[in-house]
Amino acid sequence: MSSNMIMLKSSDGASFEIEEAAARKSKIIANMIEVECVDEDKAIPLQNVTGNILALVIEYCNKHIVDDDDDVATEEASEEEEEAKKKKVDDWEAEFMNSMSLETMFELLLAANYLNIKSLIDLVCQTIANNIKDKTPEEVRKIFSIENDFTPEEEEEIRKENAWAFG
Amino acid sequence: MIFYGRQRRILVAPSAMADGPSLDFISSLPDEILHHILSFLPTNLAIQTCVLSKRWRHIWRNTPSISLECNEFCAHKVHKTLKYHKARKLLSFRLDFHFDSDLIDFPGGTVTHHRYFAADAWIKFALSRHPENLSLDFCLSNYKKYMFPDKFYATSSIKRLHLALNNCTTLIPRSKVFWPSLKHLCLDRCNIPDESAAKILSGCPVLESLTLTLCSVLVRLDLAKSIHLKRLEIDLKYSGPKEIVAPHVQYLRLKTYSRPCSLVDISSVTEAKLDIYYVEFAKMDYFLYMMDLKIVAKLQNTEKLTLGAIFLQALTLAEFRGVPFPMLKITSLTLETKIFRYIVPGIARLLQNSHGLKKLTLHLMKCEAIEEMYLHSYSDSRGLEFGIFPTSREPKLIALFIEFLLGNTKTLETLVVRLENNLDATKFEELLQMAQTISHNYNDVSILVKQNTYPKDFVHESRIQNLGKTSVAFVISQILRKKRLYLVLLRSTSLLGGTLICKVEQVLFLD
Repeated sequence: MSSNMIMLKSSDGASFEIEEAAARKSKIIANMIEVECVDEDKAIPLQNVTGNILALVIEYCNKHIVDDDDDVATEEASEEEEEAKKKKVDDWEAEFMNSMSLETMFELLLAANYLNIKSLIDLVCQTIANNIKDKTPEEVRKIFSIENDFTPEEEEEIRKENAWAFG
Repeated sequence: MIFYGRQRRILVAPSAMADGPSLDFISSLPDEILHHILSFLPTNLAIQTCVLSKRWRHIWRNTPSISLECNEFCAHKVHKTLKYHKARKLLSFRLDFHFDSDLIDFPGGTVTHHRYFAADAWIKFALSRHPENLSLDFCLSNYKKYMFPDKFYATSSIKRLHLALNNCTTLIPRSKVFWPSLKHLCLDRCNIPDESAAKILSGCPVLESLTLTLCSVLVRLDLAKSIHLKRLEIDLKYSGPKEIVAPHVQYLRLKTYSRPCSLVDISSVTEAKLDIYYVEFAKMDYFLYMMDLKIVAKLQNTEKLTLGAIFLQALTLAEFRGVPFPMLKITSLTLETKIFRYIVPGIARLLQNSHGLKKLTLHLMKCEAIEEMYLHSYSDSRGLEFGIFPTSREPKLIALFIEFLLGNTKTLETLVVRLENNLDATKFEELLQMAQTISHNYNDVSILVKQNTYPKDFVHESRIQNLGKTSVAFVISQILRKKRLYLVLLRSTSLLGGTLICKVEQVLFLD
């Protein structure tokens, strides 16, 4: 099954070949394969995902499918080996997220959401949450370019209303 | 455990706004994605996003997870958070509350609740949102009469339940327990009478894993009717079940103290991890007679076995006494220990009685063990003597031990040696050379020597050099620490008289 290749086509017309097993990380694509609306020589069009983002999605899916294969190969992986492997994946994910701009990260999140790839959604959301954690609202606004549309009085009021959480 | 409460900070008044030219992508995300992002934060931090902008003002209220910590001084925060939280369905609800007094003061001085009233109200809130994961950590000191509301025991949504009660209250379901979706149950320091345990287990038809950590009162744990229960982890210290009946369990982790614990039926266990807490020698003596080899004898169908240092010492004492040692079917054995004399006879016997052993892992680590002087006087008094590994230095000692392990098995295919307390470069190289020499005599076994951290901070990319059937691996992996990447370049390996040489050539620090 792993040798089955399928084609994906991005909104800007770029085509990507991907192993079926990797593509199945996306529930949407997995469903399409199940109900057999995937034509062997036709690419699946993904209207909401641009080529550069789809390339990242595919990189992620390939990486995680390779790891699954490893598991099968070393049938009897010991606890430490699994730990080491998990650490390797964690390191790869950290590096993967580090390598992209915030803008790309949000596009990737929307793509993961559209394609329904739960583990990728979680990875991006966790990364964004880490950027919010331990920051003052001012810092958070700066990082994400959020415009404060409250007047100083309004903001003061809201802080008062929610004072218990700021304590 | 993470104490989110400590992360609170005083906020400064709003200063200049971010004047970056880039667009505000995050605020344009759909609500449900923002809720998902906030669900990765402790709730008090999620609430703080309400001041970011109008878009964010109420977003936190529908976050599908709640994670709170409080003591009697901040009960009002939990109260308010729950009051404003609007999600109809929660994926997870986590609440840690540690109260020392009976009454909770709500600032403003208008309301004073009895703490039980608060606990009840919060639990009822959680249950009304049908959480899939529920985690409650209660410490109600000096008070033992708190009863969970009946509704708590009849919740169909819960799939994972973690309950930590710090032994301050007893679980007594007044009526039938109904947890039809519960798969993972973890009870930490809970007092559970046998009847309660039976009631709980009969109310969890799909339970897959059970963890009991330092639970008391319980005497007999009968899991015969929990047919889906595959994983059982038990930590017994001063009290806890004396008898365990677990015919369906496949993975067993058991850590015990001085009390004997009888494993009545563990016939399906294929993987086990056993250790003993540090005990005073006097108790050890009694303990040994009571259980050690009895436990070993129960592992008839176990294939993967992991044993800790004190357990190995116990096996050694049993060997001294001439207790008959059962034959085992294990194919993979892991020893988590230091090298010291009083594990040697026990390990020898264990290896000799494991005829199908294929893989042996020696994980050298810091660990507790019974002082040698006690064991020494014990063996002396019985005229027993053995002088293996007297006072060798570290690399030599490990090499001797490797030789000893290999000498006691006939079927082994792989020996892995993991060093947790690392050797410096020279000593590690020495060890590799010794391992290489030893391996000439054991051609059917591949020996892997691994160490995690090299000198101190940086670690490891792997280099494996195959030398016929015998391979020696020098494992170096990378770590990310404080966003600083340490890259270790190795000079290409060379063979010197059949010995593998690896040298750290350069260390790069990449920011």
